[in-house]
Amino acid sequence: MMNHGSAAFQRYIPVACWIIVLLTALFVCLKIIGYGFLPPGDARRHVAKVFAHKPYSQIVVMRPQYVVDHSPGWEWLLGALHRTLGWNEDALMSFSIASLLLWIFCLPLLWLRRPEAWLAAILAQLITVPELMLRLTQARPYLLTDGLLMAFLLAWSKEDRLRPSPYKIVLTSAGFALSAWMHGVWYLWAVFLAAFFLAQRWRAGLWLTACWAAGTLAGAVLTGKPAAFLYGSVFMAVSVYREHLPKWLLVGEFQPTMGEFATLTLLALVWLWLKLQNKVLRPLFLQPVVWMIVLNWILGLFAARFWADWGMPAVLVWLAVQFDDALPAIAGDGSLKRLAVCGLIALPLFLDASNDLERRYTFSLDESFPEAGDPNLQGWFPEKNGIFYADNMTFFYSAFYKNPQADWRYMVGFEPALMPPEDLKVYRAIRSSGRAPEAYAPWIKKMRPEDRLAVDRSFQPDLPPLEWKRAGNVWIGRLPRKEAGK
Amino acid sequence: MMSNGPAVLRRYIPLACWVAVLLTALFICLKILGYGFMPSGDARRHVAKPFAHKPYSEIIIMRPEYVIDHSPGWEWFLGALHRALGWKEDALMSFSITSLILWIFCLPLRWLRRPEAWLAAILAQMLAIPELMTRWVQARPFLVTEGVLIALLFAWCKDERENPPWRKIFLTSAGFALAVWMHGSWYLWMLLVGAFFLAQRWRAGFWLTGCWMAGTLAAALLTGKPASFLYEAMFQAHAMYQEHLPWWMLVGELQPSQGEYSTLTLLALVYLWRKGQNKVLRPLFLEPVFWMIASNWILGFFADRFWADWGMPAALVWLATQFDDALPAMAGDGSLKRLAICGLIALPLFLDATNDLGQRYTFSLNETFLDADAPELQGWLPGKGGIFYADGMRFFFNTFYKNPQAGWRYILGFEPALMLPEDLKVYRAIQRSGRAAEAYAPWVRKMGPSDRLAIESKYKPDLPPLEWKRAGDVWLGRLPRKEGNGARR
Repeated sequence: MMNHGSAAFQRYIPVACWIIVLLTALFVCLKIIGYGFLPPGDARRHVAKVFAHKPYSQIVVMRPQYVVDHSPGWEWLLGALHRTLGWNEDALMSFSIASLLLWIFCLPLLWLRRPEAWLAAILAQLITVPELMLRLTQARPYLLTDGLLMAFLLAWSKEDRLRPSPYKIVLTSAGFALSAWMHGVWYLWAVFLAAFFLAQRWRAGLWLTACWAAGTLAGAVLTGKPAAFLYGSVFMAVSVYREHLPKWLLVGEFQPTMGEFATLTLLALVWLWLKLQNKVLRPLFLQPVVWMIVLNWILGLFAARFWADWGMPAVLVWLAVQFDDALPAIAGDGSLKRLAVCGLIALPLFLDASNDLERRYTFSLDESFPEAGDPNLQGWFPEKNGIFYADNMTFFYSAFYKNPQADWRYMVGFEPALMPPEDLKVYRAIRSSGRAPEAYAPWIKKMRPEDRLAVDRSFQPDLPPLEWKRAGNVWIGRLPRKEAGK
Repeated sequence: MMSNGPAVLRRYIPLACWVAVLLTALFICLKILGYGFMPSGDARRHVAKPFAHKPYSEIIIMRPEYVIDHSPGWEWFLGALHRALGWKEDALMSFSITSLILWIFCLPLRWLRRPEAWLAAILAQMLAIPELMTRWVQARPFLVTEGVLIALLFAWCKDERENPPWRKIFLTSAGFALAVWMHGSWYLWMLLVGAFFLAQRWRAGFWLTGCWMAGTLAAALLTGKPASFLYEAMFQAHAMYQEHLPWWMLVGELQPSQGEYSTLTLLALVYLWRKGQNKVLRPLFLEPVFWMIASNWILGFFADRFWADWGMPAALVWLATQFDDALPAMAGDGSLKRLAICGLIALPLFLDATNDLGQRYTFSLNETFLDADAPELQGWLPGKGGIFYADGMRFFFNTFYKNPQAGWRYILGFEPALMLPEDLKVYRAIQRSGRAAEAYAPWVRKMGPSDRLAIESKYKPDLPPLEWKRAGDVWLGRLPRKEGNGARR
C-alpha cells in the first residue's frame, strides 16, 4: 500500500480528474437547461432571427445607418444548424446555452497542467460575484469573445520567444476573425493589445496587433459587407455615448460598476497567500493579464461591460495560473489527495453554479410571451406592416422570439441607439419620466389603426384614446375601432 | 537618461503629483455639481435658513426646550456669504457641497509625505463602501467635524514629545471650537479623547482633553447662548433615545450598522500586506487610531452614525498612514513610476466618485418642490399662521428650501424628537402603521381652515373630509371650503 493509493491507481488519477472536470461542466449545463431556463435579452432574438427569413431592418424600425448586425456569424451558425439538423427554437436555445457555457468551462483547460485549477478559479470568482453565472448563461456570442480572450491570455502571456510559431499565428488570427464575425465589437480588442504593450511585451504585442488586423479583416469579409460591418460596430458605440444619457437610463452593462471590491479582495488574498509561500512572483506590472485587469477595472467604473467581458475573464486567467502553479505542491499528480481536492472543487462548483438562487434559471417560466396565434388576442396585434410600439426592450425580445415571422415591425428593438432620432427622443422621455402618461403622447398621436402600443405594467394604463387588452404582464393598446369595423 | 526619467523631469514629479491630487479633488466637485446635484436632507434647510430671517421656532412647531440650533456656526457662515457676496440658494448649495468635499479631500494632505496616499486610502475605502460618496456630498457640517477629527488623528497620533508646542495646542483648541460651533455634538469628542487614554497615550490624552474643553467653551460662547447650546445638544440626543423606538423608525444614521465586513476585510488585508513586507509595525493597541476604529465599530452596532462619522474617518487615517509609509518603497520621490501610480489612483478615484451610480447625483432632478408662487397651487398651501402637517421629513426640507420666507409653520421639521409630544405620538403612529388612514385622524381633526396636510403618494389619499390636489409626487389636503367663501368646493 502506498501513501497516496496504489501505483496502479495512480496512473488513473489524472484521467479521473479530467473526467470529473469535464463532467462537472457538462452537468452544470444539463442541470441549468433542465430548469427550462430561457435567457433574457439578445439570445432570444438571435434564435428567432433564424426563423424570420428577413433582415433586421424589416423587423425593427431603425436608422438608415444600420446595414448589418454586429453578430452575423452567430446567427449564421444558428441558421446552419436549423437548416441542416432541423432544430427548432428550443433546440437552438439549448445549444446556445450549452455550447457557450462549455466553451468558457473547457477551452482554457488546454493551457493548464491541472484542469481543476480552472474550476477552482471559476468557483472562487463565483463565490465573490454570485451574479457571474447569470452572465455566463446569457447564451450570447460575447461569451465566444470571452473564451477567446482567455485563450489568448493563456497562450501569449507565458512565453516571449523570438518568434511565435506560424501555427500559433494562424490560430490566433482565426480566433480574432471568429470573434469579430460572431460578436462584432472588433475595436474593443485594442484594450487587450494595449495590455501587452503596457507590460512591455513589445514583440508579442506587435504580433498580436498583426493577428488582430488580419483576423478583423477576415471576420469583416465573411459578413459580405466588410465596410458596413466595421463601420456599424463603431457607429453603434458612438451613438450610445453621443447621447450623453444619465447612466441610469442605460442598460445594465453600460452602467458603471461599484468598484468590484469582492473580486479585488479575492485577488489580494491569493496574492498575499502566494507571497506568504515565499514564491518568487513575476513583477505584476510586467504581466499583460494584470494590465488587462487594471485597465478594465478602471474602464468598468465608466461602463460595467469592460469589467464583465474583459476584466473578469482576465481575473479568471490570473487566478487559474496561480492555482495551476500552487496545486502540485498541495497534492502530487497521481495522489488520491489530488482526486479529493478535485472533488472538493467540482462538487461545490456544480452546486453553486446550478442552484436556482432567486429564480435565476426559472424566472422565464412565469414570463408573458404574447402569441399572435392566441384566439384571445385576435385583433390586438399589429396588422400587416403595422408598428408595435413599446416602452421597453424586453417586450421585443419576448414577442419576436414567439412570433419571428410576424409581418409587423417593432419600434423598440435590441438597441435604442439605433431608433430613428424622433422616436428615440420619445422613448427616452418615457424612461426618464418614470413612464409618465404624457410622455407617450407623441407615439399615440402618430399611431395608425394597424399599430399597437405594448406597455408592461400590472394595472391598465390610462392613455386615452387607446383601448386596452391585457396579455399576461403586458397591456396592449390600440386606437378605438369604428363601430362598423368592430 | 536616468532609469526613472531624465533628471530635469524628476524635479517636477512631486509637484505633478500634488497637482494631480488637487485637480482630482477639484474635478470631482465640479463633475458632481455639473449633474445639477442637490443633496437631500439638512443641507437644504441650512441653505434656506439665511433667507428665512427668523429662528427655527417660528418655522417649525417645536418643544419649548428647543432654544438654539445645533449648527449655529454653519448657518451663520452661509448667512455671512449671502450678505457679503449676495449668493443665492444655488450658489450657497454649490459652495456647501464643494467646500466640504475639498475640506475632506485636501485638509489631511498637510500631514502626508505623499499626497496620493490619501487618495489611495479614499479609493480603497470607497471600493469597500460604495455609499461613502453619498455621505460626503451631504453638504452638512458634520463634514467639518470629520475633517477636524482626521486632522487631529494625524497631528496627535505620531509623536509623543514632552509637551506639545503652544501653536499646536492653540490650533487644536481652535479646531474643536470650529467643529463644535459649526456642528454641535460637542460631547461626542469624548470618543477621541477616550481613544488616546485607551492607547495609553496619557500625555496627549490630557492635552487633548484640555483643548476640547477650551474649544467647546469658546464655541458655546460664540453662539451667544452658551448654556442653552451645550444643554440643547445633550437634550436632543437624550430625547431621541428616550423614545425607545424600534430601529427601523429612526433615520438611517441612527440605525445600527451591519458590521462593516468589507472595511474590516480591507483593513485586515492591508495589515497582512504590511506584515508581509516584514515591517515592524507598532502594536495596534498602542495606537489611538486603532481604538477609534474599534470603539466606533462597536458603537456602530448601536447607531451607524458612530461608525460613519467617527470610525470610518479613523480607518481612512490608518490606511493613509500605511500607504504613506509603503509608497516610497514602491517608487522613488521623483520617479516616473510614482507619477504612473498617482495616475492609477487618481483616475479610478475620479471615475468611481463621480459616476451617477443609482442616480445618486441626479435623483433630485425629478423631485417635487412646492412653490408658493405657482398659480396652480393658490389656495392649496397653508395661509398665514397656518400649519403644514406632513408624514415625512423630506417634505419639510424640500418645501422650506423653496419657500424660506413662507408665513406658515411645519409640524414636522428636521428632528421628530423635537416635535410636541402629542404630535410626535401621531407621527410615530403613522410611521408604525405603514401610513394607515386612521393614524392621520388626530391631525385631520385638529386642522384649521388655514392648515394643510401633505402626503407623498402615487394615489389620492382617502382621508375624509379633506379635499385633495396633486402636486408632483405630493398630495395636498385641506378642509373643504364653504360655498359662501367664494372658493370652489
